[in-house]
Amino acid sequence: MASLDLDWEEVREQLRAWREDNTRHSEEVIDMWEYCLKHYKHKLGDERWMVEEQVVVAGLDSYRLDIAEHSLVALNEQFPGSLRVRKLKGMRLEALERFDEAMDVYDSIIRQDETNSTARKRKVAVLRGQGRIADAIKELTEYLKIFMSDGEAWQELCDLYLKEGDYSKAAFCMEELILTNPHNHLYYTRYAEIKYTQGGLDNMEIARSYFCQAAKLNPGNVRALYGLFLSCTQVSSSTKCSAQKKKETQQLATWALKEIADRYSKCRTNAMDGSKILETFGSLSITEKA
Amino acid sequence: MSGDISLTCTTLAKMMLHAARYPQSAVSGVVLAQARGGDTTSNTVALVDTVPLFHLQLSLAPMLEVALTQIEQRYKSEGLVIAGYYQANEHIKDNVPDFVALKIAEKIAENNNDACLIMIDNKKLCLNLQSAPVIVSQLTSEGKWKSKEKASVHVEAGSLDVISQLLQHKVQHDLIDFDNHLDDLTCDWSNPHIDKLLTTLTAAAQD
Repeated sequence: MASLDLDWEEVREQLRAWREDNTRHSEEVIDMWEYCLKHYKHKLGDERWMVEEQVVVAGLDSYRLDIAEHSLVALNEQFPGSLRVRKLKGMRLEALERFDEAMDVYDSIIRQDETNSTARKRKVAVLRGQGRIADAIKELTEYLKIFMSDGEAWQELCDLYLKEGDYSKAAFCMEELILTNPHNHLYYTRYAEIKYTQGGLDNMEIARSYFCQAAKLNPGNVRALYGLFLSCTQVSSSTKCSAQKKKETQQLATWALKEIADRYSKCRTNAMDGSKILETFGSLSITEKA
Repeated sequence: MSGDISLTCTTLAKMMLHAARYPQSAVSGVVLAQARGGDTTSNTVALVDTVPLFHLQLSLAPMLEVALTQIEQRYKSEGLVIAGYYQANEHIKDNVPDFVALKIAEKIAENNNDACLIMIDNKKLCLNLQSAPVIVSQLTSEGKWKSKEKASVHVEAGSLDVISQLLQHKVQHDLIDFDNHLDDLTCDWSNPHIDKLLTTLTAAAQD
């Protein structure tokens, strides 16, 4: 790629937006830095150092260690002795797979500052990076005993439990998240998916309620609608379901399917149109899981 | 069950693009083959296409059920069936199928004796492919997954070059999987644009 035809101020805005959203666009950050913003770094003022930090992380992520190290050196000169910069040095060691040394760096940060949460979380990342999922879970559980309101950590723990197949503990993590974020439809959806996967009539009914709530919070959530349809079908085909409940649940299932078909029709997509959806799922006879 | 496996360029390409698009996550998907219409002459399982499924959470059931149902329905008219499952693990050195891969592959095997379980060999995925970075397994009569010899797995001629080109040009960013579709219904998980691109490239390669 030659040079990007971008206004450096636009690039600065974009990087700032990505920093604030905390989203991962490592390749693009590197490209934007290398082919544009690097040449204007002296115009960035104080923001320069946040951008350099962003570039270090992006560089480590895309294995552009040359770029990452350059920015790391600049940050080290500007902020000698900084723990925030020291964490980046630890991350560099992680990228080089020198995991034990990275752990030492993070331990040294924690010794100097007991309240430092990012170093503790990096330790979990090192363990995950080494494939030591059980150890990562242990470390993260210890972390959450101290920093129990860290939503990002609960999400990570849920992820780790799902990797281990421990659905009930993963569900517990989502419960914590829902308690602190009762309006986040994504948490409801994820919780319902876990409950559905666990199976059994009780879990299926819980899944149905949570998919329902997710769809209520965000009618555009297609996973919630599909999940609602599936869980309703499961519940109503259960032998333990009463006739009255069966009727209500089936009505809910039909409603959910119609909503999905509507969404597809609105999209005018070639993939699947609304009527196909009704046809595909309408005839779905689910094996009894409830 | 003791026969060879062949993969078309499309099949392998979409798998590689999927893995390359989400280097930090595990990814999964299914592979398709022609339905066995009583053709017992060929012992080779020919995998002709791939549908990339997930990159967010591979172990959750509901969306998997939705995906499998839609895929079966869509390809029924073309005489294609789901013939296997592929997965690329999160960790670069890890190419061992986990409980998720085994469970889903077994489910597919219930309907299809020749079902394949394909693990992507992450370490071999690069910009200049020397060999197909896949480990293909099938069920033995004892119900265990056994990986096929490298010699039994055939890839369409010229595939590695074509796929290397795609990776060099970062085509993976255009690949759509089922997770993308669920987030935005206009995204087509059958990736017709990739199919088109592949047709052009393979034709050019044959010139």
